[in-house]
Amino acid sequence: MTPKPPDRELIGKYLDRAATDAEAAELTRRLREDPDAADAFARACRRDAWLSTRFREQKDGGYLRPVLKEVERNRRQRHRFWRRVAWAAAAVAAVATALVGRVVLLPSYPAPEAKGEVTVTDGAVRRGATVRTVHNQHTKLVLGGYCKVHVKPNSEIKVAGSPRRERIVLERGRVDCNVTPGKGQFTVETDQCTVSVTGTRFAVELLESQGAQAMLPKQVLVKVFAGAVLVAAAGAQEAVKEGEEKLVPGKVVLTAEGQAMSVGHRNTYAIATPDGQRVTKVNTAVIGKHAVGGNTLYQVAARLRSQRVKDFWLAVGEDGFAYYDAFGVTFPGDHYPLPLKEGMAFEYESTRGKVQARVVRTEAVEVPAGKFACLAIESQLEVEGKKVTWTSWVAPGIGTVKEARANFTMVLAGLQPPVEPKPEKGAVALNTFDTDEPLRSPLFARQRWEAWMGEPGRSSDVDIDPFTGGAEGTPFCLRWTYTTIGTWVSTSISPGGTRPADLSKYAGISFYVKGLLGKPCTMTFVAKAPEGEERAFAHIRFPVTQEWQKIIITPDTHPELGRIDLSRVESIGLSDAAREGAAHNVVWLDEVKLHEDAGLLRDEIEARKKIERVRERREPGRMGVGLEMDPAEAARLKTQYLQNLRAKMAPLLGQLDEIKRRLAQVGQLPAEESARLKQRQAQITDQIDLLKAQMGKTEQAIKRLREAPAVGRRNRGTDF
Amino acid sequence: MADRDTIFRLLMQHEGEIRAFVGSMLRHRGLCDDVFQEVALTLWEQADRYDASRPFGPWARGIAVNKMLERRRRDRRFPLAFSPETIEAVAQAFARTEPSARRELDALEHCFQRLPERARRLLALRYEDDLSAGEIAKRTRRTLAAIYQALSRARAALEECIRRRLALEQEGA
Repeated sequence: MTPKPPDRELIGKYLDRAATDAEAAELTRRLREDPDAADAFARACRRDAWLSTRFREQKDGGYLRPVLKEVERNRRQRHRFWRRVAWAAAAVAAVATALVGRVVLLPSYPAPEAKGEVTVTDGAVRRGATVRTVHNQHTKLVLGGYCKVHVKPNSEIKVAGSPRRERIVLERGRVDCNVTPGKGQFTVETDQCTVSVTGTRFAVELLESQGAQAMLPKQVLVKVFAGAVLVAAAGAQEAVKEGEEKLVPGKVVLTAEGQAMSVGHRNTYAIATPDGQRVTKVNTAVIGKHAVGGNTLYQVAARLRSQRVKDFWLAVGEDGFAYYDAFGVTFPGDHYPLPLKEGMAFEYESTRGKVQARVVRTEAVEVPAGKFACLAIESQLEVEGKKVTWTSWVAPGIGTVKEARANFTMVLAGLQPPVEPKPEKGAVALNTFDTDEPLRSPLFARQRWEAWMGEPGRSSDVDIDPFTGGAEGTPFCLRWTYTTIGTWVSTSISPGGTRPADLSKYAGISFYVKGLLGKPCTMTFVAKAPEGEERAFAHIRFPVTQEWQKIIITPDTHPELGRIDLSRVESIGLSDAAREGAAHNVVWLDEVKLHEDAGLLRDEIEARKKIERVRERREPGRMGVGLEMDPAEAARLKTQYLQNLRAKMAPLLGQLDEIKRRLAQVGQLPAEESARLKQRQAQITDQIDLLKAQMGKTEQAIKRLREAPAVGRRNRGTDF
Repeated sequence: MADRDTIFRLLMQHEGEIRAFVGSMLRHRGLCDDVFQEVALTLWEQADRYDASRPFGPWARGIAVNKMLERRRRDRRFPLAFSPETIEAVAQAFARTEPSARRELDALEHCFQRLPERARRLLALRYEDDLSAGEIAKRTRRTLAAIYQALSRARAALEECIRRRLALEQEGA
């Protein structure tokens, strides 16, 4: 049992933290290789721990004993199981806390306690716990016996601090505090400031953003009812006395996270002369997002009035963000370090020379797009011996809100965050053109849309239209611009790249399309043929109007599609051909989806047909080519038609409400019933969308007819 | 499977043992307390997994080993003194010596009372104030070697006393 002297010496040195590295290594080796040495080590450690505990108990007055006594007493008194468990849990938590801090359970110092309804993160009010109140809940906390904290409804605080240095962190809402003087310190912390006291009555409230202040960060209101408090914020301290209030403004910090954007984000800036006369407007749209090294690189399209100008780039890294004409090739135009805070000064090499800049203040800036909490940055540049200065106001999550230069002022006039494409049941997106790389298919990731032409000298270009807006309110769509003289042009995607792709598992394809000329267009599917045979084509012609319309193509609706081998598709795309003369056209394409569920697709086609039949039967304007009516009469009939559409809409809305109500009965519906209802909900939603579109068109037609001159008597009447 | 009351009692009984084991791996009282707290809470949470027919000590030490290795994985600066193999060897040593631990500690209690006052004052500095040998040397204005020798002598005296007492007990039995 007695360790060998060399072991004893090594172990003693190790326990006294006096062992050298070589001695520690030697001890490690012996422990691993010699079980006797390991046993001696275990015994020595046990004795060491015993001595440590004994001396600590002497010093602390046996901090474990009161806890164990309390547990035993309650175990005897309370027999109900849940109560026993709760007490034991509280006791273990208390023991653990005591072992860590040895402060809470010292007999002379009371533990935190709560009165009233309260939600605590881990079940017990103790240091580190988060206390929440909801609507109409009031809680009173007593910390250290001398700090009475009234936690108001809808508030959240964290209990922190140590004996006689009590501290809470106010995350949300309001606390009213009453601190007995002479017992210890008390601090309320918020992100914006710290309120310290030694004895007084006061309240601290985090003011949530409201109304026009929606973009401003939270402010803190400190009210003192008795005594005085010390409010520390932004590196300065200020005493607030009895009867006074202090409003601490929120902090603005620009971080890399705050500068992150989504593809599809669109801004409009108004440019005006310094005296406020509007000159022009600039639209910007984020059209691409790429990871380059440690940076996220955003491609931003810009339009001056109606003319698209050169794209620029915004690079956001952990340590800064910068605008470039050409990323990686030139110096930036503007470059800001991150995180950016008030008071920071910095300089950078720009395309125009060395810029010296300083964040001069935090400021709420009101522009036509709203009110934003910004950092105001003053920059200075020397060009050919002349000093050029300008001020930029930059807001987290927004970017530049305002820029004032000697010869113009630019303000944010519109802000359009991207609208997510609506997911469609049973369908997968071949392209929605709203992704980080819009022309690249999310389904066939390596492939992108390309433009082709039959003969050189013509033109066929494909790009993302950043400013027109996509179908169904989404930000982007594909724009195909072409000029053809006696040849074909196309834009297409090859799903499998150089290999044919198997699309036979899909029941059909749908997409939205519109055109500048409103002339028909063709969707062409190309399938690889067996060796020795020519490739197979399926050309599907469909009408194109100047407004978005949804086209659905299936082997049932278009039998020509069924004649090619859909398991060997080489490409899918739009094509056009002009046999003679030149044709310049622009076609927009969006929301190209492949459908897996044939049933759903059939239902949608049926619903559309039905609507079309109703439209043909009821809409007077479609009674036949060449038949002319008096516009007033036509407007009357169209109004009647509009009323019919509205009458048709009403029961659908009722049905939709009923379905939503039933679906809201969570857990009460069998899965099959729930699925059926959801399917029906999707169908009705589509019908409503179609009716809405039809109503919109009819309203426009009525407006046109009411503005049109009356038709002469000679041209009307008998023919009709 | 054990109920939480049982676990609580076992935890209280084995507290010294678990702390000794954790402390043998981490020569830092604050961290030792941290790890012990984590172990205690895990034991509490996993009460339903404990097989009451098996000894509690090895199960608790296993959880302590996992906690320490997990902390080390998360933070490379976590001052774990030994490699996983050595920790395993020490855990086995604790298991081997555990049955006689109670008697040894009772003997230690007896022997501690018989230590000379000077040795007890030295141990108080070492354990009550949690000072290292170097810190004690600085505070008492003695050389490190002298302090180390004095500590070593005090421990040797305790060991010798415990050995004699246990031998006497065995003879008496």
